[in-house]
Amino acid sequence: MYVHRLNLLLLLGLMLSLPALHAQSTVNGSLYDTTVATNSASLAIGSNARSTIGGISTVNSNFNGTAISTTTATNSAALAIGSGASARIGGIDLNNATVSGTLTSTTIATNSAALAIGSNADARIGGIQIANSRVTGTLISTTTATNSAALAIGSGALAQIGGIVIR
Amino acid sequence: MRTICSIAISAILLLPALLSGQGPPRVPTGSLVRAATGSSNGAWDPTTQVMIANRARVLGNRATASGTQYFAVTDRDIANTKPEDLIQRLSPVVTSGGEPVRKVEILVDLQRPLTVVTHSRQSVNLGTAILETPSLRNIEVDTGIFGADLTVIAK
Repeated sequence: MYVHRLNLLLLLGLMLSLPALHAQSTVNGSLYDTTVATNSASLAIGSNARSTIGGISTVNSNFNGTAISTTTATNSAALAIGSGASARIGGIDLNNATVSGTLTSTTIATNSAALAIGSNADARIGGIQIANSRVTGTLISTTTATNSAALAIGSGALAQIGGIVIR
Repeated sequence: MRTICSIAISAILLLPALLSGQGPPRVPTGSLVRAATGSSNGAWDPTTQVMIANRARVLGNRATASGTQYFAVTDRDIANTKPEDLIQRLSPVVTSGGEPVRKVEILVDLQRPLTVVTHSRQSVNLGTAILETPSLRNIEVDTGIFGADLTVIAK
């Protein structure tokens, strides 16, 4: 009887894990992101709150090729307030990826702000972020910021306009 | 005297050419990065926005024969959406069920502020292309966001 219950639990666990397995992506080739944000705001308030406007998000992905992110933000803001909060406008996120090839980030920010307050808060406009990944290849980042600000307050807080971040 | 005059005239004539050669140092073209696509603010004119909204309404999650998927969110689209369905309605999930998706055109035009309360590290994406396809090749995402004011409050 105990063995049957154990098998049932294992089967249940397998069924629950299927959606997570299905979410894995393999990207071979080119990944282009062009985001134009005008008069927009992405606000994340509270512990681990996450708010994203535009861009491309991949989770548990294998990526091999070229990723190009072009973000134009005008009169826009990304504000993350709280421990682990994250607010983003545009850009490309690659997590748990093996990245090889060329990564290009072009960001034009005008009258815009990225503000992160709190430990490990993350506010970002444009750019490419790669986490828990292995990267080989060429990285190119071009940022033009006019009347814009990136402000991070707190332990491990990150405020970013454009650029490429590899963690 | 004639020699001095001819030298002075020559110097005056050559002055513009000399000055033009003293501009800022040339930047090697190899260090300049061109935009990924030709998209700019001008590309998102009202005609384009209406076209994307109409095609997104007609096609839904299906891609065209050329592999383009359209997605649009406006105030009218989310007016009668249930709170539990709202987060799914805000972003397209790119899958390759039938024809492979090569391009995604996304339009976000929200003039009213939007506030979403989430629980347990739930993330809210507005007009973000979420890649959940087992295999993708050469995908291009164009996103136009206008007047969006998204606030996510975690409880």
